[in-house]
Amino acid sequence: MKKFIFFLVITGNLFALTGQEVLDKVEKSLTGFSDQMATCEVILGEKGSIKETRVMKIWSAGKNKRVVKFVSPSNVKDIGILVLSDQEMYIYLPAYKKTRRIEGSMKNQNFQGTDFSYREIGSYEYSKDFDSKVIKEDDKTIQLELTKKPDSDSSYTKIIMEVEKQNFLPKKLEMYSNNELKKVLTIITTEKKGNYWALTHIKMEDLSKNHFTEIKMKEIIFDSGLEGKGIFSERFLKSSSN
Amino acid sequence: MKRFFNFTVYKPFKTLVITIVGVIVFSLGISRIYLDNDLLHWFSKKSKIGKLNYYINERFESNNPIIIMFTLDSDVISKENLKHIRDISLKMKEEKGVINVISLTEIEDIQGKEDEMKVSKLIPEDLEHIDYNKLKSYILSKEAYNGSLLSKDGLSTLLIVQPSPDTKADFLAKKLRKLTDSFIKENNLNWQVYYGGTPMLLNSISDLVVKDLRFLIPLVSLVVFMVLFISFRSIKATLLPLITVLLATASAVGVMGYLGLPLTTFGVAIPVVLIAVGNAYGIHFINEYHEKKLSMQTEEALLKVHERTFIPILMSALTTFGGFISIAVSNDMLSARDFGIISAIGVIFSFLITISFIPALLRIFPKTKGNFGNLNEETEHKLFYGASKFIFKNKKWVVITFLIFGLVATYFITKVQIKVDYMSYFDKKSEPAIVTDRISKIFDGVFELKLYSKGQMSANYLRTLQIIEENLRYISGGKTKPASIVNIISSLNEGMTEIPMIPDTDYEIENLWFFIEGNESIKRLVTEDKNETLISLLLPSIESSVRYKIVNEAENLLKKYSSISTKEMKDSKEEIFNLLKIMLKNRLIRANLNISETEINNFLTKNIVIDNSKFTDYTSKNKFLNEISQKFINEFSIPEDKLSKNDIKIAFSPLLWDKFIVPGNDIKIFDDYGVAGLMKLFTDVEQTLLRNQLISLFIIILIVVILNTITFKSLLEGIFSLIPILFTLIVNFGIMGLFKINMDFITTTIAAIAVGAGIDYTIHFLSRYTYEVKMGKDYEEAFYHTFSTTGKGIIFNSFSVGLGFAVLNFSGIMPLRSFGMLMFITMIVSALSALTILPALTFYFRKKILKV
Repeated sequence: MKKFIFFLVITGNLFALTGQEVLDKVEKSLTGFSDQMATCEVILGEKGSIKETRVMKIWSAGKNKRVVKFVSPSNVKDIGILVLSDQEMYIYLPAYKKTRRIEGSMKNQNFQGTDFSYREIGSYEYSKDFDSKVIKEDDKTIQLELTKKPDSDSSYTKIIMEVEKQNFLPKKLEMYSNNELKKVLTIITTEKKGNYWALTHIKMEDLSKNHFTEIKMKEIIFDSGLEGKGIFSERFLKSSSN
Repeated sequence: MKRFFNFTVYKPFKTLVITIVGVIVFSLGISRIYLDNDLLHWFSKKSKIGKLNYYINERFESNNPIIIMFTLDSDVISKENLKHIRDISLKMKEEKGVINVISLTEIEDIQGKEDEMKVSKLIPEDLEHIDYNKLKSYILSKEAYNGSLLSKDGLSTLLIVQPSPDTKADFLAKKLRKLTDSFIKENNLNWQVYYGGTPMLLNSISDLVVKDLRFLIPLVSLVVFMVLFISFRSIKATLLPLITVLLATASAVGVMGYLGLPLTTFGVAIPVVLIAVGNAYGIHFINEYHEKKLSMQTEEALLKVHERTFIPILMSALTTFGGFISIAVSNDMLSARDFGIISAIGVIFSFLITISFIPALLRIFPKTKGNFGNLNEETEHKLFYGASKFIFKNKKWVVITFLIFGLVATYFITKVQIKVDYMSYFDKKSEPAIVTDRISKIFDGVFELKLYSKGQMSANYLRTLQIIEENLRYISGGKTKPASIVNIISSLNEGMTEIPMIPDTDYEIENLWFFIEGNESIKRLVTEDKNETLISLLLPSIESSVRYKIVNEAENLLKKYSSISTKEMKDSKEEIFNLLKIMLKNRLIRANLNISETEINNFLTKNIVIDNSKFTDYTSKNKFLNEISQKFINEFSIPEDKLSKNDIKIAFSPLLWDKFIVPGNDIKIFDDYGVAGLMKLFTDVEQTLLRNQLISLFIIILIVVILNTITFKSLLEGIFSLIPILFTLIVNFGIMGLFKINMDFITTTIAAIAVGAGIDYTIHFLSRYTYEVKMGKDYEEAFYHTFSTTGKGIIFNSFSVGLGFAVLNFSGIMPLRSFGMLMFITMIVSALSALTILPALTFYFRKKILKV
């Protein structure tokens, strides 16, 4: 009997996932598709009440490529952002009818009045900037502690991520800067579309500002061959979002 | 009352216990006292002066900035030094209560080049691969950094820390000072550090307050003790009034704690003033007791003293109480109001403790050798008697002398200046004064002026703001570069078009807003809904008259441009040239380039033909702007490292506007507007000081006339009794004018206190004089007798009170020094007036007024 228990402990330990493995699974479940396109309702709020609602469309492929275009309100309509890599970002302003390559430190700044930074919008890539370890585990969830890598320029020093064991989707992320809790991302609803999971309703709260942003995703389409359609190009960026 | 008198005399132990328990209960409140010298906190959120300032602080999440200047022995722009600046900036950013740190390493720079917009840190993250000479030239060429973050010689740099609005900025400043000091030490840096900005000054003021209290309370007690000892020549008789007044002071200051009132610079004066003023009641009581004790048993003597002195002491306390209450009633400034209320409460405590504690103690320890003023000593008697004879004989000359002094003093009253400024707290050689002066010389200054406006953000709105800020900068001497959303939108437009100007269309502005919406660094200049904006200028400590001019101009400009009209460019040549001249001159002044306005005007007339029909797109606009800017650079040989072409382009950019903006009624620009900031606060306080002064004087004079009318049972006598104190007031203001002592929020209280405390001498003199006449003496003998008895008491009393005030001359806070000196003079002058001009006039008008 003792031997059997010893065997269970050993095999249990052998089969337990490391923090990095859990994080890899999370990223895979969120970006496992080759591309994705969706319409998002962005709700901005302060002190518990809603201030403004905006609509934008997102196209993404792989871990880096993204296009974001605003549909409404009218003052921001057709403003678009194209991200090709961590170092390559373009912005299109319809009032000027011009595209400009954006260089520098904008990626850690807030994206258009939301509580998401440019880096965070539509991106769930953490392993590049963070080392991960499991700090808690129960029947249903795993809690990861992500610590910033020395060469990373992320504005967070630590993230506590709660992951559902069933589908390896994040439930909640607490973002810290120098041990001070700055933001909380809560995944309110998730939906399985075909082979993939999508975070259909998320909420980011900025604790210092008492400000929140909710994003509701609709009309999600996976694997429609966006790269082949020339979506991730300056030409598409300039086109109207209608 | 009789029951109370009996209680204190026949139940002395119970009286003592009740008094001491009461004092202990009240004094426990002292532990709740906290320091607050922020001028804004001296006004309520609803007050006219405080309202807009509080609103702006809340709406723009702003607070007074903490300014730290580093002066190095080598170039700031070097790898090692920048690394240290980055490290200390980041350390400060981590501190709780810090919203933002503006420094060379933390500020973002926007550059537009062909099809690229670069929004990046001014100093790249990677410090290894930088051409530092090129970087230094670039920074010094941009007026946004030159003189704002880096000194012209490249050896000094600023760190501007913005505390969150709910943070006590002075506490944070103390923490940051400690942090910086240890950083400098740890890294073994040979840097000179200057700590400036309002929060740092507030700390210095608070340090002065604490230091003053520790030093001045024992000193004033010692001075009063010595004066009393000289008068009484008995330790016990000396200690009794002193202990009384110390107990009253502790109780009053305790009440301050219970009421949650902060300790301010005014607070320092409270114990000193109470100790100085309050001991008079004890003196009178003990003096009477000594007289009565010679012929009566202790109990009987004490009861008699109670009966005889109760009303004069009560009246004396009420007039002084009235003086302080008039300060409280007439002031919007909470610190002055608190000072008035607490001092008034202290006076009442002094009165109550005098009439309970002193008789109870005298009942327990009845023996006393003291003798007030040593009345029996022949030499003193001779001296005072001789003086009274001299005054009587020369009464005409007394009146003439007072008239001449009065007229001369009246002339100097016109020279009194009003000035409220944090810097007036400090001696010119003190550290805060030297630091503030140094920062103001190398950089813009440390005191903020804010122009608030509310309206729909549009091209017209931003261009109007640009006209206002350039005009205001020009009025302020051109050196200070205002911070506003105008510069940010212009830079972003440059990022898109290479032209640093406010774009023509609202749509373009909306698009540019996309970049900055939600950005922390713009929050102190524009609200999230972009409907409210601020223009912020940092100015040095300047003369009140110059400050008035700037604040007035700011208000006028906002009013003038609250509605505008647009004019065709070709019809606006004069207005355009005037704006260009101002914009160019501002930049030239900041760059230390001496080119006259006439030379600028000649250049404009010679080289510019206003015709914007030639501009078809941004390319043609940019070509023109480059050409005219280059022409200007060539004409005046402007070195690129002093003033960049980009800044000159900004100055010429209004030439590219589609329409010019002039004040008018066609387009409403501002729904609301106003001027705020410390500079405005100083001005507002100055403007209310005179009004407050007059109101408090009116109230206290009214109180005195009413009380004296009741005391002397005659309205005419009540008014007549004001003469010495009115003369004293004239002398007080005359001295202020002659010696250039500014009227500030502390010296403005002198008049009311002087009336409240100084009127006692007149009351004592007149009541004794009429009493002596009624007792059968002729008016001449009655005067001699009054002068040599009560008169002597008045002289000793005025010296004990006056010297108590004079102790404030040793205060570290400059206005308190003036206050102490002036109060000493007013006490002596009011006593001398009560003994000279009052009797001299009495001889002429006694029949009509005194009916004796």
